[in-house]
Amino acid sequence: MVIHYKCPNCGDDMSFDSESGKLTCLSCGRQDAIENFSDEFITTTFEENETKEYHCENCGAVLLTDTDTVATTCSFCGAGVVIAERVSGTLAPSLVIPFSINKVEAVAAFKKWCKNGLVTPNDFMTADRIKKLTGMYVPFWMYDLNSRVRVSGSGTKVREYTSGDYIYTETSYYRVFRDINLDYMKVPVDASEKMEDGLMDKLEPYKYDQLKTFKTPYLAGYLAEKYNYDDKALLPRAKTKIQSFINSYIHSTVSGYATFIPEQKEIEIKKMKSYYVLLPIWMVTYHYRGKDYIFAMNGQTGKVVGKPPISRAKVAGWFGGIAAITLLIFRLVTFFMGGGLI
Amino acid sequence: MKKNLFLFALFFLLSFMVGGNHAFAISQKIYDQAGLLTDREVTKLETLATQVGEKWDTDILIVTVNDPNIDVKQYTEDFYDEKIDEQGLDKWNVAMLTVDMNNREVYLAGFYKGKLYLNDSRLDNIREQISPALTAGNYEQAFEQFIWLVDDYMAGEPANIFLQWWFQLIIAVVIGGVITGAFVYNSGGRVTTNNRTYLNTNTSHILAKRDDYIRTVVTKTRKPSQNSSSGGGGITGGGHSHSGSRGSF
Repeated sequence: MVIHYKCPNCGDDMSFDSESGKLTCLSCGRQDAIENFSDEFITTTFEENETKEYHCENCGAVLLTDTDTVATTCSFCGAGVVIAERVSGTLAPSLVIPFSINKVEAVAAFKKWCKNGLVTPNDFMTADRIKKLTGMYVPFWMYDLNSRVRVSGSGTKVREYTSGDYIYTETSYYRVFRDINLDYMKVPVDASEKMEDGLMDKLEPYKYDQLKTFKTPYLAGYLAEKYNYDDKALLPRAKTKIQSFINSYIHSTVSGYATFIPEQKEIEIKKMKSYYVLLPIWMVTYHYRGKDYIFAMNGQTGKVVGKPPISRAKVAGWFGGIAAITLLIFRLVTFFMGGGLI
Repeated sequence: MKKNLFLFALFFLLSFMVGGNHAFAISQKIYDQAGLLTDREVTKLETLATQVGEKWDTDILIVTVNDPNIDVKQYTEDFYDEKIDEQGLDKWNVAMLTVDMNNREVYLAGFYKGKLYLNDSRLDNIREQISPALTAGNYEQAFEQFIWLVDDYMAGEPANIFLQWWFQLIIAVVIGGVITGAFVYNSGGRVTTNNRTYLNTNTSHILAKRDDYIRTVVTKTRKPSQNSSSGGGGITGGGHSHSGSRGSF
């Protein structure tokens, strides 16, 4: 079943407006608060049907979807539609962060990012060849993880003092034990097959104060996909993500020691809760010298990640410039101390 | 604007340094109080010392003394303090050789620029080269050799490795490489989450800890001697730091 939001006033298509956070009709300006929409589509379980073809409620045209598509726009009439089967039952997202950056702001943010590129070619920095800009809700799993850490090892404290003609170094050895409880909340892991994990990791952090209970109208006018991996499959990745956090926390608990060598470390990570969340991402396809470059932008904060083209001339320029200035400073210091300038 | 400010600061620094670094030359370089040299030899050495000294903006002093009541190093320091006060200078670049005929000892010292180019080990090296001539009584030859050896070192690089060209070049290239590498590495966006991003500080804490003292190990090393009488540099009574090398001949 296809959900399509038609304006009760004028009959035009409604879509989510990032500025007001409401379902908006662009023709007559009607705005509906999304919090009040019913959950009927999410709570009802649809019968498993094999239909892979969906028709636009508005014009009847066949919607171009693949097996992961949750929301899309009709390629004929442009109406934003949501496929109800794919947001209900086990596929129902529990939370969503709506877009706070609209298309115009996304272009501006991308241009600004390009302009700040230190090692990208000049003609790339103008950012005037955006080929495609797609607002997309990407499926993530967020985990509340409880970690119990028991670590023991040996620590040293070093004291140095002078007495007579000798310098004494006093090294005290301690047996150190720490039992730590750590809770990491809502650690996000990308659940889409199509998205590169490293790229998605760099898009963090999101501001969680804007996490909303999922409602289908948030998706109106954007693309959305369903998860390819369930929360069980991605739990190991969530655990590896917090591994370095845990280690640095352990380190902070033994900061009174000059050295600490852990000898026994037991880390037990348990999942307390997991949430299926849709996060807003702008995908930017940029055409530069016959090649397409893909960038991703955090649809909430505007942070851009991706691999831009690198200008060798600029890299050489920076390298030469920094080395030359450093050398000049060294020479000036030498000169100041009484040495020759050249 | 920022660039202009930087250039201005650089210019200011440079002019300050050029002004502050200049040290006036003293007219007499050879003080042959022990009477080891003939008048002709003194004139010849004066000319040479003046020539070389002007080239490097560093006075080359040669002092001979025959007095049973002096220590050669102390004498060198006092001599420097006295002469710098006479000229009313804060800073005076000097490479100095003192010969104590009574104890048959020699002391070489470098002050300021002299110290920069002639550290203890370089002065040791010079002393070893001129000692045979001193032992043989060829004082003029030894003093002339001293002036030329000072000239050699002053023509090269400062003694400190951090002030030498090639070393600075390597460091500059490494710094340039690291910073540029970071630019390239971060061009695609950086990870900006840290261990506090997802941490629930209300429930995360240490449940139990134990710090059991086991033992203490004490090691001792001899303090590096700073003012050993066997040689090396020091600080004069007037507060001027210098390098030095002391030996018998």
